[in-house]
Amino acid sequence: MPSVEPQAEGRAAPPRLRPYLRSLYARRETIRFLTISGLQAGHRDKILGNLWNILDPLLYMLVYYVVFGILFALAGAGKTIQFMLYIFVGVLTYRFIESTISQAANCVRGNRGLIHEINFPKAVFPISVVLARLYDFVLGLAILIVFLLVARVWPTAQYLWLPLLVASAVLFTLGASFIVAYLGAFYADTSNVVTVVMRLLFYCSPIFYFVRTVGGFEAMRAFRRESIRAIYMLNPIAGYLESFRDALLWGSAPDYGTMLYIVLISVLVALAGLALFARGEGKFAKYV
Amino acid sequence: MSEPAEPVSTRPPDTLPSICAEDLAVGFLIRYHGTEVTLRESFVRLLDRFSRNGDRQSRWSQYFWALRGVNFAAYPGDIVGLIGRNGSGKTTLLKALAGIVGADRGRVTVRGKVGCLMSFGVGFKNNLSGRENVFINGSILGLSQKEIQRRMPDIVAFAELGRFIDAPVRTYSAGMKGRLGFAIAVHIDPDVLLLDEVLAVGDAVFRAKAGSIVDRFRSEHKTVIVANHSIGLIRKVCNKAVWLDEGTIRMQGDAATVTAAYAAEYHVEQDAN
Repeated sequence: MPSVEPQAEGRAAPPRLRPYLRSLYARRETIRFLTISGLQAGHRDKILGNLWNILDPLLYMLVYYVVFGILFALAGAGKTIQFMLYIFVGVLTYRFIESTISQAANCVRGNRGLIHEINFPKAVFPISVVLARLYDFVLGLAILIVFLLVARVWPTAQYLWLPLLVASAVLFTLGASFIVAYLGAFYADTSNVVTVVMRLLFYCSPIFYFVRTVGGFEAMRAFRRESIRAIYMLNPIAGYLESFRDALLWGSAPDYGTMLYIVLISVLVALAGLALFARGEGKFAKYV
Repeated sequence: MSEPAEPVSTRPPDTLPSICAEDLAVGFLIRYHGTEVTLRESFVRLLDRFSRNGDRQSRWSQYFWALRGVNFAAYPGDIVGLIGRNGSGKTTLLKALAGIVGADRGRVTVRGKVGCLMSFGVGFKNNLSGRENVFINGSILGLSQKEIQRRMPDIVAFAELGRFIDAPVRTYSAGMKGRLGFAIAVHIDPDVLLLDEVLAVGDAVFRAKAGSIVDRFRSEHKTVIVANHSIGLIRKVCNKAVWLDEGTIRMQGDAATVTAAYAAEYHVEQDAN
């Protein structure tokens, strides 16, 4: 029946970035409503409600402590509290990145109804996912700082790095969310792939072990330990974890090379993600 | 029964159309689900997709043109009825006019704000209350929180929801969702209102109210486009009609003429409904 050949995809001129950002800014109320509803909807029917935002990372920290601190004896003698704090920084940061990206994979499909009902910049969905999870993350950081004070790990001037680190982590997560949301709109398989990739990144990030142990195994003797570690640190999540720990736990300036790397990566990923998403969103209604 | 591309209009020539489509075409990639797909078959399918990335016709998927070469314009004060059989492209045309679905070819021009109601309450978030949904929908449609707050009493009154406005939408009946959706679409003060098969649903009281809204839009020189199967309703409320047939415009013009031709074609009773 189709006698006319379909034209190449993407014929419609891709929206310029600046007007797109302006149209997004005009929807800031929408983003706010979606963020708030995203924060509440998850826990509304639970007895402990929003308390789960704090309980979740705490309980995970305990689980990893039991497994790796006690069973694998990674904590080291007399360093229980320190190791717990070490894990808590890792869990908080990793969870922010992981839960945001996993949710973003379904955020377009999950709002199918709205997308078929009204025309608007669809980027409000991944953005509000990031903001809702960022709220949890910042809350978690605040609790962490309370713990640090209780454990007598006093704040240092290195705390001043935190805004930059959080901003960079947000940019990176936002960009990755855009990419994953874009793919998720066209391929329902995306969330499966994301789950596996995030699991890989989980084990390839220093959450419950130390970077200094990476590459120290007999089987990897053939490679120089430094080169293994350099490849390992290409994972930006590893960079975030190490930098956050430097600023919060060790009171030392984060490694400038690592910092430069994660900031550059986060800006690149954010721009690429936004451009990809803005280009593809006109087709979402046809696919979801 | 070919129609001139130039849309019929009774307005002076200097009036610009509030909404118009030029040579509009919208296509969909349809993926077929095999009934008994074996692992081997799905593998073949995957290879198929990679080897044929230029040409999208295959056993498994097909590019389908839901609209082709549609030229259409509506002017301020027009109430246009869309008729056509199921699958003729009425909904796709409305979605393309609303910008929900992008045009693959041709273009759509709109002057002013578009309000649309495509279905009954599909756009609502079930776990949120009606009020929260009004805020989300209103803000997506470009209203500030203050503007929404100002309109809230009118929206609640129009939707006849009373205190149910603060109950989660999942507890609403289909009628309640529909009334709320219609109330929002009308109260954002659109210049062009697009309605898909929604006027015929709802009880008599609500239909009367919806009818009076359409009259108000007409008197305020706004544009309403209604997709409906009821020839009687289109005759009653519309001044123009567009007959869609397999994605193309079969006929457009004066509502009485088009509905008469449509009724004759399908041997349906002219005064039906």
